[in-house]
Amino acid sequence: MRPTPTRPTSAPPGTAAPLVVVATGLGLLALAARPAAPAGIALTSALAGAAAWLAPLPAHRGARPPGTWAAAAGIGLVAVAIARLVAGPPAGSYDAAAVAAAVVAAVAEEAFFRRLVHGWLEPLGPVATIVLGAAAFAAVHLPAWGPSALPVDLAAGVLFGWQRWASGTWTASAATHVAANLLQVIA
Amino acid sequence: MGRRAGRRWLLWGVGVALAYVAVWLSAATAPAILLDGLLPGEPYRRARHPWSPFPFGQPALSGVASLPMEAGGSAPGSVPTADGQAVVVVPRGGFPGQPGGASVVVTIAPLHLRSVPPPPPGTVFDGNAYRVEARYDPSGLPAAPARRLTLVLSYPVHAEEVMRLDSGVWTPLPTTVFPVVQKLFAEPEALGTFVAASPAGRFHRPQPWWPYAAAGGAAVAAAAAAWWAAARLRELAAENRA
Repeated sequence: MRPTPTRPTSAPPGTAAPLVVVATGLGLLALAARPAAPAGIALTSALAGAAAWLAPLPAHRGARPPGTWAAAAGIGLVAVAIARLVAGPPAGSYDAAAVAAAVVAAVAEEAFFRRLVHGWLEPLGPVATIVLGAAAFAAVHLPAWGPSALPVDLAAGVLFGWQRWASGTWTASAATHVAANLLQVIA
Repeated sequence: MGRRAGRRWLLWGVGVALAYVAVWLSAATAPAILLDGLLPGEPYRRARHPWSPFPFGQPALSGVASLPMEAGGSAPGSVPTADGQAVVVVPRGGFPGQPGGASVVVTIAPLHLRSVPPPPPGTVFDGNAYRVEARYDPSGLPAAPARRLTLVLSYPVHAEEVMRLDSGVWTPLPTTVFPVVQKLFAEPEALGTFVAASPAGRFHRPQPWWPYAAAGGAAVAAAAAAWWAAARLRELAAENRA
């Protein structure tokens, strides 16, 4: 594994941990119970994403060099592009509001799972962090999509988690997640 | 650190990406590549009765596609209606080869509900019926699938199962429901006429208000808790500096 520069936190993480646990639990509940309408999805996701963006993190690895970010993002983008090429046309048509909500939801979910959840689980080690983050990611999609969606969302969560671990930042997985959602709603 | 160890992270990434593609290819819920942010689309298009004098709204559209023949049968393909409300996904070898059949032409035609038999007692239809047919080209002979197809039907309000018309009787098919995108997935072993249906008592069930309140309240509370935590950390940092 590469050397991992550590970014110090601004204060002892134990002080804020209970509040972060509460925020994470409420965020998971909000993402799982998102209303089906585009505005509801966008607003709820944005609020959960804002919570994840505001929440403090314990000391964690800093971002890797740009080349590593590009490799991590590139592998994810190729994977979703292959899936889209084999999938054929989207099963439905979507308006601008739906496309915007898909983008907002993708960015917010990555901020939540790959910044907040991954950041606090990171002391458990990369494998446990990635797997637990992917499990939480798949779990919040169960109410809407049912158990048949679990394998795909779990695999996608592992892919996004690896991107987060490899690049040291959640933006690589956010770019891939946005691309995956857009490839689903744009013919 | 050795050169091999330095690149191990990249090999892990390629492996994870390949695993994702493999899981997706084997998933029963294709064609969605990430079952995540899909959302309700345009208003549902209703099939017009042939005699209807009221040309209001956008009519439901049909779909047609030609699948070329390969060594083991028809090539794989997706046959959507032009409005995307019905999609038939044909796997590789979905239709067997036949002499004189260079390809299989699959058609999907929306039908007004008055054009089909009524639903079984205690059941209501939600959406148009769709007739799915396949014929070899150029012979024009009907083609029967050799493997199960995937049928995706959109519904406008509430549906829980796909039904197929068999000898004048509607038969429910094992169905997977995706309420967020209001779609039903079924895997019929034969072609015919299909429709989305629901138990009558649930059709007009009002949308509950509490999921909206719970999701909004939880998200606001999460943002407040995170903001509070961040502010508390800033205070502690300032006290430490002082």
